[in-house]
Amino acid sequence: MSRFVFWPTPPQMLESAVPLYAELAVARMRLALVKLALKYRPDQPRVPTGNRDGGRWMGAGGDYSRIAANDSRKPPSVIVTPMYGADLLDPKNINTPPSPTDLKQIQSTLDKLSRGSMDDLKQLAPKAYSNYPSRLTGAMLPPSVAGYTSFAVGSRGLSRRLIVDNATGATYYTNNHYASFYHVR
Amino acid sequence: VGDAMKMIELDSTGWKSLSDFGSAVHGSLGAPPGYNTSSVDALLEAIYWDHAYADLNQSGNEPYKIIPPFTLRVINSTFAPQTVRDELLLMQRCLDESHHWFRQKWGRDVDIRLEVA
Repeated sequence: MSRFVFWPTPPQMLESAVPLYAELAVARMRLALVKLALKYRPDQPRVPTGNRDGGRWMGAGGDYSRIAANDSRKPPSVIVTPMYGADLLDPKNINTPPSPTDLKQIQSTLDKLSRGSMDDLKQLAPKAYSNYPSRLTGAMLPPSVAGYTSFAVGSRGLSRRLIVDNATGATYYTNNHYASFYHVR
Repeated sequence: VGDAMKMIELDSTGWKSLSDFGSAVHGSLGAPPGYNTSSVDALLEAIYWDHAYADLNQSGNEPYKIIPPFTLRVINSTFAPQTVRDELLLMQRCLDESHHWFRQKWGRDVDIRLEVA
């Protein structure tokens, strides 16, 4: 059995979860439509953080030169190509090792997700996470075709959340309100 | 007490980014420490999600000074840069999505609105 099962798919919830699956399917469809409306492409690069237009989509083909040429703070010759990599979880290197309390509460959250009772879910406050990049740091999660759900971690400190990929179950942790992320394995 | 719509007016004069809007929101609502104002999702939690779940859980410990129902009304947005107006429209759209998601999931909602004038 896997260490955790992301919400809302715990097998013990199957009977009560049928409406939830329908809701999730609708939510996914809506998300897809919204992204289509926004002409969303997961592989479309974004302007790196630190620039005036940091986080915004770049033009077709990732041509940053047009933006750079219009940015008086940067010489037009500077071409910055954002590389999509692990550092996008923490572009400013602000993560510090999680404390034992953090780890304990992350595990507790994962355990609640595994149990999947409605009371647990209410306490975990699941919400759709739209994954727009932080204007503060540029941090964002990898694009997900099914979107993300965010869950509260711990009873205090509302800025600590677990974010789970609805399709793959890949899990991330933030202790600073989405300014940076840890990959939870 | 507590069920009258509160109108919170935010003057966008001088705003240059989403963070300015976020700072105004946090100041008006009295957001908890540790929150930042620089991402759409972080702002949505302060504007909507935290209130929705506090209402659902009936915990009685809303960490905000202002509790629903409330309307955030941004004024003078026509004088704000286009990027700020775009961000505000994005926030409105995301707030609508959040309302829908929560209603679909829990069958209830809280009355929180964002108006841009």
